Amino acid sequence: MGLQAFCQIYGGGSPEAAMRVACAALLETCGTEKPPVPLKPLFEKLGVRIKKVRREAKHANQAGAVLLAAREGLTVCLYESGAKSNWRRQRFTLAHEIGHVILLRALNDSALIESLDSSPAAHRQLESLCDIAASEILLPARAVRNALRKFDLTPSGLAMLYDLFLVSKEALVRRLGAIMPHSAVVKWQIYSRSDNEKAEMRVVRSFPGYSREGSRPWLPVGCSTRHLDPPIVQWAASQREPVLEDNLKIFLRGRSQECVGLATFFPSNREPSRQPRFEGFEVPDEADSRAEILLFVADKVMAGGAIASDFRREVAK
Amino acid sequence: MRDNEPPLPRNVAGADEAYALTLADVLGKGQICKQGDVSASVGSGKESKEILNYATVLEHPRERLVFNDKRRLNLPGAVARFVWMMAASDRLADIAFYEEKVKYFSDNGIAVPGSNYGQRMLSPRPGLNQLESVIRRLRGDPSSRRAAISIFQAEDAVRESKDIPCTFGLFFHIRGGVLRATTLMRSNNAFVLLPYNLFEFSLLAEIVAAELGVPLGPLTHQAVSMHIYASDYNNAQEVAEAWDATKQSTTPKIPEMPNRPGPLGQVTELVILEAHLRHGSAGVNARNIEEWIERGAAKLHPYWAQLYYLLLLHVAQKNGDRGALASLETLIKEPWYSYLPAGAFTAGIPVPNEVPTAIESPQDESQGTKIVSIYSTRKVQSLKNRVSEWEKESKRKMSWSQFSKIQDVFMERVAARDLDSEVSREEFLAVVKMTADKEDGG
Repeated sequence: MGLQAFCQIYGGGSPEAAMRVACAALLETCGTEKPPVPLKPLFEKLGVRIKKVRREAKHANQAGAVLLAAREGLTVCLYESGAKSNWRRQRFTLAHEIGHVILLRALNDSALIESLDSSPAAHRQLESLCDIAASEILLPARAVRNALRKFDLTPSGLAMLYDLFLVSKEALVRRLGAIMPHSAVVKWQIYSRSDNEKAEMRVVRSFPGYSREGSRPWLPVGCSTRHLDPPIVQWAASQREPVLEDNLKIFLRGRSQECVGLATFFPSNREPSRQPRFEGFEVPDEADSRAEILLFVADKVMAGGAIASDFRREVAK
Repeated sequence: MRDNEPPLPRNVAGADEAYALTLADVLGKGQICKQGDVSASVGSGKESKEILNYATVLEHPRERLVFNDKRRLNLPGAVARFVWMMAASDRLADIAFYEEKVKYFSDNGIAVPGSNYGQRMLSPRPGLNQLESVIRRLRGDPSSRRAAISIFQAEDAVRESKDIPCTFGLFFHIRGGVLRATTLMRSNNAFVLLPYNLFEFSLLAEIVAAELGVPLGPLTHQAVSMHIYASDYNNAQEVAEAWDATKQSTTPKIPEMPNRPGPLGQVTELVILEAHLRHGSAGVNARNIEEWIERGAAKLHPYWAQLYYLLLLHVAQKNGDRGALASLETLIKEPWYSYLPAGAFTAGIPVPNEVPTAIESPQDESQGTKIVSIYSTRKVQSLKNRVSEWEKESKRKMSWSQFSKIQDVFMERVAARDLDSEVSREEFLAVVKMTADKEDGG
């Protein structure tokens, strides 16, 4: 009910589309579309206060916030862990709360607002919608496309994008996966799903997720590199070099998909002196996670061979 | 050469050269022809220079863009003509959206009865698709001489109309392992229409070639009457001279059409997307441009998506939306980007003094002053303008709850297809009074 009303207000064909429109409107109003997008003017425009609360040590690795309707107006209560390396994730968390504010302001009716959270499924959809808002705000499509004209997806290109948008690696990769047509990003790490299974390079997640429609490649969690021919993910991991393959085949459930793929990765963390500064603040890299390989992969028929030059420029020359 | 004897077919590289040399030939060797003013033709009573049975052979028809310093194609307009053709449409409104002058070719203000090449080609009668038949015949027999499309019909030889088809027919042959296409024009306005005809028929030829999986060979463009109207002599001369000065095409290279996904399927998607875009065009703006982009990107191969973005560009230009244009600038790639005139993404659009309000900061959540950001139909846009006027005049802020009530009243009043009319001042003030009364009354 609430999301239907939201769609009517913002005119999107779906709640996701409506949220994208709403976020674009907010950025346009605030004139803050150039990356890295500062959040302060957005909160000021929305008239929403931010209250910082120290999180208990046992939750130190989690970022989190809640939106409260306080007497003095809407307030985002931001739980800080004290861990500097959470700064990028905290930005996403704050932008996520802007999604909630947009919904509240748009609906302006308690019955409609309550319907957004009326069941676990509705709650999941609500949270996912606010994640979309955060992504739209911190990684505006136009700015991402502009950046992709300058930087490719090799480790150095990814590092530039990471510093340009000042979001987490996860948020950046998700957005890249969503914005490139007929494409996906598959994250790989070495692990096993059970004690009986060999620890090897396996899929951790695909962005965007599975869809019956469209041409975006997809691999389920847990798949090993046996589903790829050639196994460029393994090659990139062992050589610590990005590998571009024009004729990559993905095998899944007896079917194969012709693709163009780039197996790449984020470079290791840097010295603090080489980290970017934003509004006078030195932005730390996120804590290093387990070594992971990112497979940027596009359907060859629908995306065409030219996508290879978007993935890795020097190869195309 | 005797007077008005057609020159031998000219072999040229691409559309740029074909255009300039055709103009030079007609200006230099054409016979003056004064049309009588007895017919409904748009050329009726006008003087022109004309060569009968003029032919030019484009060796590289993929070089389909006229890039002359003095005149170049209106690229979104050319794409729109092609899409309109492939939609098998004869509706004037659908093409006049991109090119208003087409209205001069309609007898009733509704249909375009002769230049509806697509309808004549793809659906002259239900189930009769000449293009599919061409592809089927050439698949079955690559040496066939029967792969032809008839645009001109027997009734065109008889009926009186402002618009009798200028194109007579199209022919396709596979010879020497390549597809050789021929366009036969009854009549061709060399200055105004030849660049568009070369664009659309070379694109059609490439579709046939890609569907058949054979390379695209030369395109012969032959006009029984190739002519230039007197009013265009000077401009045509300038185009010919501009070519003469360089004698080489500066047209950016156009990529080869992919044969997978199948071009006909992609054209169908493009036609559907174009219809959606045209119908929703009044609401295309910076805030929702990414939605419009996504619709095309999800369905189309990048080759075809570029054509869709050019149509979106036309709409964004029409709406004067700087943000939407800026988004499209990040998407439109070469060769199209270079072909567009300088300022295609900004020209003529004044910088707004104030960015329109989307979600303003309220003083108090329970009495929000204004939350205005709605899908921009003309009606909603005008409603927002009326609210701004009212706020200025009354020096008061309209509350969100009152705005939403006013909006509800208007939205309930409109018939499904009446989103394009504007809210009048009188109508608006009456509704303000009515909703204020209700608020006061509890």
